[in-house]
Amino acid sequence: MTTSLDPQRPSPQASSLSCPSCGAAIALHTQGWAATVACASCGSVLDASDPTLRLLQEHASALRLTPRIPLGSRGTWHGAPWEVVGFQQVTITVEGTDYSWTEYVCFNPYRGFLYLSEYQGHWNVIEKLRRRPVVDEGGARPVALFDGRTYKHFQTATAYTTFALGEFPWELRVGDSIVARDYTDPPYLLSAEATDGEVTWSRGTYTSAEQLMDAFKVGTKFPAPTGVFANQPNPYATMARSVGRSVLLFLAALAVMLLVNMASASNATVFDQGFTYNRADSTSSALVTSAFELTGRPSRVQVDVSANVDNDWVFFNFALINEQTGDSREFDQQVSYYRGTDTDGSWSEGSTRKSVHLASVPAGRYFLRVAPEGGEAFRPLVDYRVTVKRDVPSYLFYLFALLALTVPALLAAIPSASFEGRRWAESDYAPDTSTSDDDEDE
Amino acid sequence: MARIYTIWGVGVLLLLAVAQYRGWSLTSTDNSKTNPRSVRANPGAYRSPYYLPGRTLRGK
Repeated sequence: MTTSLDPQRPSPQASSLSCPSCGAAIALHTQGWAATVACASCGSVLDASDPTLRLLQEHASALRLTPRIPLGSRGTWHGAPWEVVGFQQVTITVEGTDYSWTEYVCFNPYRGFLYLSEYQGHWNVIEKLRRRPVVDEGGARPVALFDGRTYKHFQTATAYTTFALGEFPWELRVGDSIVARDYTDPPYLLSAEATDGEVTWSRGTYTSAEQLMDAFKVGTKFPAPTGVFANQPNPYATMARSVGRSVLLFLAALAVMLLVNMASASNATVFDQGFTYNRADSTSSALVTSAFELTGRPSRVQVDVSANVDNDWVFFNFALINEQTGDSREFDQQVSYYRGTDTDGSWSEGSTRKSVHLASVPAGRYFLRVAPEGGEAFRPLVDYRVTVKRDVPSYLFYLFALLALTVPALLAAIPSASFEGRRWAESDYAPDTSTSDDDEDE
Repeated sequence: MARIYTIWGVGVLLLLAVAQYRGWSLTSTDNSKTNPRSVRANPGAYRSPYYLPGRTLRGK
């Protein structure tokens, strides 16, 4: 079916009248629908419901603006033809600064009105809602619930009409104000516009400029968007969500691996013996232990050494020697423990026990050479104990894996968080970055 | 990016599994094949090639 607003057909001239203020011809496209019409020539606001276009507001604005989508442009949006019949500029003042956006009124005689808005290159297609969203004012940030979505309150501001052109389905006056409360859940924006006790709800859908240029066949390219708009979809959100899901799965897998490792590691003690280190006889302090068997696949070996040092230290030089091959692994540990009291109370440092992990030790028959050295001279005898364990899990690797999994995920979340930060910096919930006069005076 | 992270995560977990199974450790040890058989008979006389005299002068 072809309607009268088919873009291929000439626009019908419903009614041709003249402006009572300047005499310019005015063509009404929405006769019977429009409440007011703003003269394109002088800017006077006229009563569109009056057969003589009664003057409501003369020369309403000295401001002259040219719509990016000319009035009378016709286009197809979601399968329906629309004609642009009205254009207005709306301004809010926040902390002494004016912020203005423009709105376009589109008309289809079978569907009514559709609105487009543009702010710094960000476009929204807006529909009036027939149902009122449920607003929850509880909590630090009010929310509006509509169609199963939760919209967070973004901004409340008093908006003034600062320029008008064409036809409008409400009684428009330049200078009229409304209180607009915006709630966002990208790509949607719910707006409650309150005036004289009446609240009108609408829902905007963030739309690319290219889509609207194509829809209305606008020859001039729209300017690129600046900044982040309230309901602009976060281009990094999908990646952040995907990485977030992955990191949760990986952390769950890491926890399972840790539990399996703890349960399956034999952690078997294969050698455990106490010795005495006599500092008075340094030539006989070194010793070799009896042999012990390490079985199974090449795996980790933990050597623990504990000594009854007290304000004392002992340095141990170890060699784990394969009895058959003579291959040895040499390592050392110092056991050192000091304690005392001072004006801050008691203190201690060091430990009487140390451990060392040896990597991938093959199966075989081994013994340890242990050579204790040094220490405080006041006590000649130090008792120490050496314990060897086979197939010991290393939790340090799990810590590294945890960092390796979470740090990139956090880095991947930065672009998304930064985008959201820039979005909410324009809201009523922006972090206060202003500097007080007192601070500036200092 | 999400795919790269998935590959990275799988790689980290595989490396961890291998490290645990093979018993890798971060402790550095001096490996030697020159350990004389006589060390059992006279362990105090043996000095490893890595022995540094005086390095045990430590403590608080």
